[in-house]
Amino acid sequence: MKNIARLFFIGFLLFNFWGRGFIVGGSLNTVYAQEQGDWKQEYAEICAKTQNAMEMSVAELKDRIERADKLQERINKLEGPLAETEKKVFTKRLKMCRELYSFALEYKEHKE
Amino acid sequence: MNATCDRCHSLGKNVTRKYDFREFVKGWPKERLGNGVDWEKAEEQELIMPYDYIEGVSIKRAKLVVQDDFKIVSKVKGMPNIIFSHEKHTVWNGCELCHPEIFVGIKKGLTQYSMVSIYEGKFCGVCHNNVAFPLLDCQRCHLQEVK
Repeated sequence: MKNIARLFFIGFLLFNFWGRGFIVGGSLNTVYAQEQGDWKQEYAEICAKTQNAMEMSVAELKDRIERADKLQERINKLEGPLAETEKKVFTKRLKMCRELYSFALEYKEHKE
Repeated sequence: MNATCDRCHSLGKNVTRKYDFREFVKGWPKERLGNGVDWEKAEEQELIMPYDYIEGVSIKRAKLVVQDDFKIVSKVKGMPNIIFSHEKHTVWNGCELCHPEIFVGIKKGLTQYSMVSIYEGKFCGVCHNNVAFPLLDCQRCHLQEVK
């Protein structure tokens, strides 16, 4: 009987220190992966409309610039094996989109 | 698309070639400079069909409504004018690659530049000589017939 109790106890300990680690670790990995992938989606959404920049309203342009700034903060915090390359490449690409929207905004505000 | 980045980005890597380049491009449209192939014509003739989308790198965007080709008048007498094609320059790129950082504004003529500045790596020279055909290939830009 004592042995069974010991087994339960050891099982309980193992679950707490190892099993939970797996579960928590697993969910953290999923969150990490989602965050990693989802910033690219946001980048694509911001930059996919540069050809329409001149037709956008002032509010739309301001929104895209704001989103670009927020995304830049996320890019700065990237971690992982490709982080340095991605930071460098996407910072430059995002900057180019932002500048185009910013230019279009300036043009519109001057005109209006 | 399978990632075969190493085939081009092969610096410092031991990449086994699948075929002999010279043999592969034999009979293709010729060009004086670079690796001897006129890639633009090769594409026109459908000898090559370059990917225009790489997962995780490219952006899916609506097709650009391109302006008509326009003329950039040469400053030197007798030098053929440049015919600039937005269509050719936007096959792979968004507007943001050139505007407003390299070419400011949306009005033609707002950005002033010369061949000297281009040779210094500014304006057209940002890409031409680096990733696009070299500046010494004059007639590929200066292509309007002189009357």
